[in-house]
Amino acid sequence: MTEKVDMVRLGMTNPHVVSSLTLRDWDVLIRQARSSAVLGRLHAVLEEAQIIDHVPMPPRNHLEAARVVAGSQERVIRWEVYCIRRALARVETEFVLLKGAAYVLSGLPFARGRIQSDVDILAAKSKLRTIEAALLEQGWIHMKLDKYDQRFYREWSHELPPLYHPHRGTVLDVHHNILPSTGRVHPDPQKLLRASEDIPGTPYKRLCPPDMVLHACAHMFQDGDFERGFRELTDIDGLLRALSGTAAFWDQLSQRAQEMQLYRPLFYGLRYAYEFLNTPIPQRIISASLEWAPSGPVLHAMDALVRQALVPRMAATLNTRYARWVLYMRSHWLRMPPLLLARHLLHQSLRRR
Amino acid sequence: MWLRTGPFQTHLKSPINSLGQAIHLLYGDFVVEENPEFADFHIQLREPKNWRRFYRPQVYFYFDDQAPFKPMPRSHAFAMFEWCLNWCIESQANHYLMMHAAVIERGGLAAILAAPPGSGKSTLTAGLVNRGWRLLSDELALVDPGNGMAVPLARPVSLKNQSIEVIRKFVPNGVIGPIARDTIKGSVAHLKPPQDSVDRNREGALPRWVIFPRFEAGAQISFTPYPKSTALLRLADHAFNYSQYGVKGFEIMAKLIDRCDAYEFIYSRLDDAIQVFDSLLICDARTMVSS
Amino acid sequence: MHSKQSCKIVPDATLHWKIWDDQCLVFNSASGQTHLLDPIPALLVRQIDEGCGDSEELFLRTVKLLDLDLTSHVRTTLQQILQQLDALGLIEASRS
Repeated sequence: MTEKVDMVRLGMTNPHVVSSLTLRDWDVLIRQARSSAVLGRLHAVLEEAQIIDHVPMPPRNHLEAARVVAGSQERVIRWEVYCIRRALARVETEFVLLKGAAYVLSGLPFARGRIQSDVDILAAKSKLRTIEAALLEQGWIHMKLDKYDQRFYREWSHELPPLYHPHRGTVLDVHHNILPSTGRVHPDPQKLLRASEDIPGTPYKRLCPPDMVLHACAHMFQDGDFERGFRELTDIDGLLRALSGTAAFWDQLSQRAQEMQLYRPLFYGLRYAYEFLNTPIPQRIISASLEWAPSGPVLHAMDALVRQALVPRMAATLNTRYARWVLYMRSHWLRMPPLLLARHLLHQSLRRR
Repeated sequence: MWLRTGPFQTHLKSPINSLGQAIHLLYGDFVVEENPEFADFHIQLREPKNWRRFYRPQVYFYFDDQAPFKPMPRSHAFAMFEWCLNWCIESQANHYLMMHAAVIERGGLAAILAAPPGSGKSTLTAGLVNRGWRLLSDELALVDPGNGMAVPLARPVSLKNQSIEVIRKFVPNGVIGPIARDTIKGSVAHLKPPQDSVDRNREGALPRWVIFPRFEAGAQISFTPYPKSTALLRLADHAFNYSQYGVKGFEIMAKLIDRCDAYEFIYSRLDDAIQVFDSLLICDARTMVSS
Repeated sequence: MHSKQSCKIVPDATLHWKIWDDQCLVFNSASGQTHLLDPIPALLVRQIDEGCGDSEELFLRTVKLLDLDLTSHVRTTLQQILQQLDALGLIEASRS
């Protein structure tokens, strides 16, 4: 049965289905969810649907284990963000929380049970040196990177080399844009910062709702690491569900996508969230988004690639691995001019040996 | 093959003959369930499909179709299996509070022996469980967050380097499995767990003592009480998912330390160590009588 | 005359206490850290946790409990302890 191949998707979108699962089914589902990095999310979904107590015992332990870990990660993120605020208060610089940190501090429902490790923040490029100095003074250190990687990060990427805090064991990524400046698509970072908003009830800032969605889409379809592909898609789905409450949201999203030149990743995000996770998207938006679609053959290829790549690892075949590899190559191509790409990939692959 | 160790069901797939033999030898007393349907861990240990099968053969560990570690020589297959099963439990079983510690039990009371690797903890454990104590675990203490009970695994006890010979002498009819030489930890072998410990591997025990043991050649034996607050911090240091448990972790530890007496223990001879542990029970009985 | 400080427990934190004889363990739910505090720092944290937010008042209450005089030496020591507790992520001690 096809459903058995992707039970994670089924479990996440239609949780009551799990009451009919046998232990053998659970044996597969737990492994699929774990390898797709959504085991904690699955627990949260089942708990919200009030059916977690009906899950039979050995599998329930694994869900509980994932809940314990996800719960502690949320606490770690909150504390880390607090420590960052204290460190940067001394230099009076603003910063905006990105991705997981923003989702957690905003109390968005889909952040429950989400696995997150690093904290990502966005700041003005001109302030990066000041920020780096303040953080280093408060105990963060540079992760051991060779000279090539350091240079790559500083000159070509859109973020500082990652910073590590030895006491807390946490990693902080400081971005000055959401996409690399060497890439084909250049969202204007000033616009991102200007449109950022306060997170209610906290002293922190996040991107405005359309920008959060666009960032998630850009991250999934430009950054290209499809190992966590399914999880990224659940983020996009979660954001759309949580943020589309206001009447103006969808139009704002469309306008912003065009303004920031991120309509192509948004198109993909909407398309696959709808297909895989039944995200409630108004029909008029789906129709309008077709304007942003790539040419017929490209779309056809992407559809096939993405569908293969999102198959959970347990059911993964050579085709899945190939699809993920192609998407990974594609994202690098989108991120860098060809010459740089060749050098970068060559260097990366030399080190892997 | 399916293997149940305490609360965990493991599904192991491997074509390696020596591994199968070692498992039959050391896990022979373990009950095999009929028609198992759910495995907590799916482990594969296989050889690479290329020429390395024949020249200095290696074995890879696969968990959920991923190979998280570098391969090891095929002659180390059983040691690798034990390490990999430890890794599975440590990374997945967060529904228990887990510590790098041994747990033994007698008279319904459990002792947690917490010490860093290389302090002789496993040797001490191997000795004690062959002199009247029940084995719950030699390396991984699992505590049920709901009721504070230690949960048994009763798996083979791992012995390193000199302790292999020490235990061979101390337990003359003990069964010791294949020795993996030249591993990063030196020579590693495993002692078959006592039948009684295996038969009772679904029976938990409430901790009564927390002991920090250390082997020191030629040292005077010493068994000194340890203050509770520092004992909590020191034990928490050994609990690798303590921080994941947050407040709950603190509460579980506080309750555990409340109920237990904590000691620091230094010894040089196994026989003396056994006596000290036996006297623990007598002390306890006396206290119960007088109160 | 004396520079005042306002003190409070770090935001969104609940402190959990476990006391055995004269040793005080404190778990900070926000940082996830467990601290073994000496008696005087523990006393300070406890009072701040109970709402005493003004450093001068905090010092006065503390010395009364310990039957000491608030000499300048004692005050300096207590201020240093407050800074250490701030650095540990238990309290926020800021100049008002």
